[in-house]
Amino acid sequence: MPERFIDQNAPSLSGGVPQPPESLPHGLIHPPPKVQEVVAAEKAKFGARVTSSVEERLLNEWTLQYYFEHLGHEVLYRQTPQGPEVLAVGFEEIFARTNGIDPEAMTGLKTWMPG
Amino acid sequence: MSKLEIPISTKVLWHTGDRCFWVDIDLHVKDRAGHWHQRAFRVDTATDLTTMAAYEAKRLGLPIPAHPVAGAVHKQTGLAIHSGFLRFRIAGLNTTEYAVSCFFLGDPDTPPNPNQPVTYPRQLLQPLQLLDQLRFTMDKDPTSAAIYGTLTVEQKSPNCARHRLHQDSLKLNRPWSIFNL
Repeated sequence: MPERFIDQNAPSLSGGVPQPPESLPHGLIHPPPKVQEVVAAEKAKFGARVTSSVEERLLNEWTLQYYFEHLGHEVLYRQTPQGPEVLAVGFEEIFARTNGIDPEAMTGLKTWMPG
Repeated sequence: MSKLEIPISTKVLWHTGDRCFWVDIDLHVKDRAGHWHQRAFRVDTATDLTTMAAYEAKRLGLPIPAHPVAGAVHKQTGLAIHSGFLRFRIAGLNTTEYAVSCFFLGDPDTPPNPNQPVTYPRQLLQPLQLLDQLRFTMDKDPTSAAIYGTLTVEQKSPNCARHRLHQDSLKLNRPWSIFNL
């Protein structure tokens, strides 16, 4: 059953215009109101099961989806309570940022992949 | 640790309001020099084989065949196929090394175009290739904080894994020395 929340204005649906990684958001991205709205709905639905860590993960993943879905770029980010801190967008930026780094030393860094 | 629990992710399809669910897993893929690189793969039982972009594999220094398979293209993307192996560890599990057959897709010297999603080679892990060594369980506990459920990845036997890796490479007659790109 589809949910009521539909946002035709999500940046990731801006439609057909190629967007190079450097033109996309970097740094700390605050969850847009629409994402906060969906997270609030999940909290209402699941109650105490939405712990602070679960809420943080949802805020981060859905904010990235909101801004980057359908653009074809992976995103390297650090999850924070305020929203994702985007460190690199697209393979080349991620490669430049992580090449030569032991993955074991990348604790706390996550990769988001578009659908 | 020989067991890893990954929370299932979900997203809203902004156009329709539907939800879809998936699981991504971080792999430490091994390059020719024996160094490791962290890459995320989507767990996908529907993919024919594990796939990733040949361009990205080459940039990472992974061993891939020098030439694509003659006369064949990847049906879903139309890209050339470099049929090889992906060697990796599973981040957060333990240090056991695994190897699966892998299609490295596209031209190793040309970056794939993210603005053409239909032909963009994706990083997909075919988990059914790993059932000799690993157990994959999807479940949902109605009291758990993993509100959409979890994928549990569990190692069956470390000794068995190493044995299978060796056996598979022999069985498929693909010695590592052919990967010289």
